[in-house]
Amino acid sequence: MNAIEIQNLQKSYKGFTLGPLDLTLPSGCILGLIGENGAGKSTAIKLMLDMVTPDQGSVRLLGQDNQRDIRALKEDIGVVLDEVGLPGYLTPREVGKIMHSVFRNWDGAAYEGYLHRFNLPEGKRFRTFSKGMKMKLGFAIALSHHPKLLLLDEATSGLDPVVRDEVMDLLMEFTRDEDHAVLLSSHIVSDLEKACDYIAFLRQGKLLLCQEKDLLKARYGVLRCAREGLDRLETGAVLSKRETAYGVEAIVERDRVPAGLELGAVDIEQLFVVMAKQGAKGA
Amino acid sequence: MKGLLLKDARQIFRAWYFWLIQVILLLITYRSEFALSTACYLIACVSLAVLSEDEQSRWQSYCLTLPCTKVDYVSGKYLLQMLLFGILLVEMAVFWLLWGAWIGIGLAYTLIRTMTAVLLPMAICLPLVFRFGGKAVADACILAAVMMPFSWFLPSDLLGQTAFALVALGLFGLSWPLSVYWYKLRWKRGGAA
Repeated sequence: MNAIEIQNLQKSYKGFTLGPLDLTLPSGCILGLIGENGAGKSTAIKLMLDMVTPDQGSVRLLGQDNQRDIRALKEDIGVVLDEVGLPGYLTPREVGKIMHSVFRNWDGAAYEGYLHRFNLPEGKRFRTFSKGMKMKLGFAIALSHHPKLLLLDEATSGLDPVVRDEVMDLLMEFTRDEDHAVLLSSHIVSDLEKACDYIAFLRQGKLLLCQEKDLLKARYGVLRCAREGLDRLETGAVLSKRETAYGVEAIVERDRVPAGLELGAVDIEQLFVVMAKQGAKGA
Repeated sequence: MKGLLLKDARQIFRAWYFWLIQVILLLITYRSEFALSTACYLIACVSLAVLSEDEQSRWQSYCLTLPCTKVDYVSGKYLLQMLLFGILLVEMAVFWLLWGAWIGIGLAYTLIRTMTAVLLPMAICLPLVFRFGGKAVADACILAAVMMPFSWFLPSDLLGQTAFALVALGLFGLSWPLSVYWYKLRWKRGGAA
């Protein structure tokens, strides 16, 4: 079963249109949704959660239409947005009591375990928390009702590198269960490159690419050579090139490079920038 | 929805000073129509204040990521208003009993006037706030204050006042689906937060 199936999804606002989007995330995988600010990542996640009504298209989460019974569906979905919108006067202890009344499968012991793991004080008011602490509380809530799908919208942006690493490990641990899946949107590509199985590029509301990370890295490489070396390549093999003091650095399609030329591994971030500039659509 | 109500209840009951003011006002209500009206006004504005706080803290967005729909959110606020109104009525009845007031026609008049004073402004203000968001809360509070003295000009007979109270209750009930519709429209056009 696919965790997420989006078909022909579109939403228009004044001056911006998201879609049409077609995207699939198999269960047991992590999808990294990369896009610059204003690309439509948050809108896509809101459409999935039926917070916003699409103009056209359909969304299926965990095999069910999200328009059918979204309340029941959200019992199995954990969400962390870029800001955790809890009232400032609440403490984590009080939040736990509220969430116990919200979620059928709320696991108080698991919640306390996460609070302890993230070093979050139970009796301190939410308004006194740092940004990182707020996000960690968001994760604790999202994980404490045994969800099958996690939707994370810029959830790691405000976290320091140590905590981000810890969260990435948590996500990889989460998807060890083949029934679980994660969609993680971010503009910090290094996080996604570490943990994601699938990568999707979103730019100005358009999906440029959605492919397995390993296939992407296998398809493209970085060629460092003298300026004349590039002349040996087919015209369409070079996605981008950059002149350096020692020659040229180019992102190329591996299949179209003659044998004998050594290629380095390509960064997902480099690939995104190139594709964004080209507006190309990967196969 | 239980979780939403629990969250709102925690918010309103932690404001001890509000309840203290309200109790003081009700203590002098027996002798002052103005004090009663002010107590009603405070109760009426609590829902608006909670809505404003929800928008500022981005709870309106966050709660929609939980097993909760826009209908649940709006309905929770209407139930909260009814709960607060019920608390006000109980408080009034308790204080009147403490003073040894005759539980009869006088109390009935007061209760009916209270119903009109609280529910009628909220029938108008709540949909406006759900449609236009936090920026409408201040205007809604002013509107509620302007409408509050309306209850003083009700017919003098019990039947006439009862009819007005029932109209206020009916309008409050009708404003509920209107609020749901306008809240969904606000999200459709760009989101509440």
